[in-house]
Amino acid sequence: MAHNTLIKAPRTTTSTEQALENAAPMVEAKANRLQKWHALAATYLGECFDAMDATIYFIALVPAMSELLKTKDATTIGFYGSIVLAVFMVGWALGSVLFGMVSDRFGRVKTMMWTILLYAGASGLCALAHNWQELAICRFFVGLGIGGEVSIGCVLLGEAWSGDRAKKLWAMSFMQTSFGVGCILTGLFNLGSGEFGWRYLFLVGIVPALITFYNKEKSQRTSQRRNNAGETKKGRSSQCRQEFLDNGVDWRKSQTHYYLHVNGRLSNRWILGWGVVDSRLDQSTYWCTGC
Amino acid sequence: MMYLSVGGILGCFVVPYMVRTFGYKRSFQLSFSACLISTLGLFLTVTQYSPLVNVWTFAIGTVISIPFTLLVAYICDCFETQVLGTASGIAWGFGRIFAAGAGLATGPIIAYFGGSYGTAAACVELVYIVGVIAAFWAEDFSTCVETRTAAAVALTRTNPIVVPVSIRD
Repeated sequence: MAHNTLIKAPRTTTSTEQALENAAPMVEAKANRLQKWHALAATYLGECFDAMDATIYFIALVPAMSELLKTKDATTIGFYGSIVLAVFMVGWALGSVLFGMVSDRFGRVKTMMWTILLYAGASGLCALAHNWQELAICRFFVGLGIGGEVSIGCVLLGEAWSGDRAKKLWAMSFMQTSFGVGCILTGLFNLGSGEFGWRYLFLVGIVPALITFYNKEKSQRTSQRRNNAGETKKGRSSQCRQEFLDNGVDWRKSQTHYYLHVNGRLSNRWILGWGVVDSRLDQSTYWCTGC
Repeated sequence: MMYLSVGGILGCFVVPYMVRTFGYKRSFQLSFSACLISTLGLFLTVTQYSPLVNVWTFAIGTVISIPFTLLVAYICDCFETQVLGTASGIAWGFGRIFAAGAGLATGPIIAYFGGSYGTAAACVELVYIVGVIAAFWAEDFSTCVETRTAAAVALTRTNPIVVPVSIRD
């Protein structure tokens, strides 16, 4: 209690300090605006290259599988090709849940960078596959990374643009166009590949790793800004959890409570999510046709 | 793939107008219905390659991207930050597990329909009906906000906030 007896001298502020204090909110607002656009750029690029790495296989399927299986038989290529595709889809499904949980715990940007590195690295490794099993394993990890990136990317963007609902909807709609752009990029790379073959196409899949440098640089700036503002380095979700703990709320208990009781209609949202499954089914079916 | 992608890019820009006009629930139902119609149209009406295939492909690309974009926005509106990553992973990405099953089941389904790929694919597309039905339970954005507010109040009641005692001057 010794500090209670301390007598603090009144703090005098100069006019320069006052001016800086007055300007601080404006600087912060500008930084937040910039952060929104950086989030849009990062997630756009991330999903664009997601789409590229996801669709490379559909172009490389026949040449890659015929070389790895040493056969030209369409039935055999189709059979093993669909197994590799299924393994990729399973990786995607698992990755979206796994990395979604990780992002809630350790922060979105950091997790997203790891997912991008994972799918870009695994996509590059596909170029070195000696047999279809190796290709399937690499594609599993590509799926794992893509699944994580897609689910984290949209959340990251939604949180960055959380102020204005209309603008957020536009930002998310714009971000979703990146999937189509990525598919077009794959087509262009295929046209440009010429004599290089399917291994070259998979090597191009390493390009997305460059985005992580962009993300890292921007997130470092954000962290620096937060530190300057006296905030912690923790991610937004971690901060929310810390606030729960600080307020004497059991995090796990409240989370379960929230899931099961308070938000009674939660199950409907999951069901709706499953309903959208058919879009993916349709896309995969469509890709299987070779169109 | 080009027609599909360009259609998909255009479809994304329809979403803000749809949500503003119809709300989430009707938008989901309309987009799922459009997906069902367009895919059935492609797989049941086209028997050989013609320019019509490109038209259908463009139409499918446009309508398929709408539920994707809608769900992204919907998830972010309906879940709290603390669980948003997990929620997004399950509701947005885990459905791929069924896509994996569909990929493997394509062969047997084609065999079941006597080698007709169109009929088999059209059969798979019927799953859009699940989406149309599930959308009846969807909450529009305003309702979500009310639910979240009610949730926050209930949470506060059950777990009274204890302001940490700190040493003050």
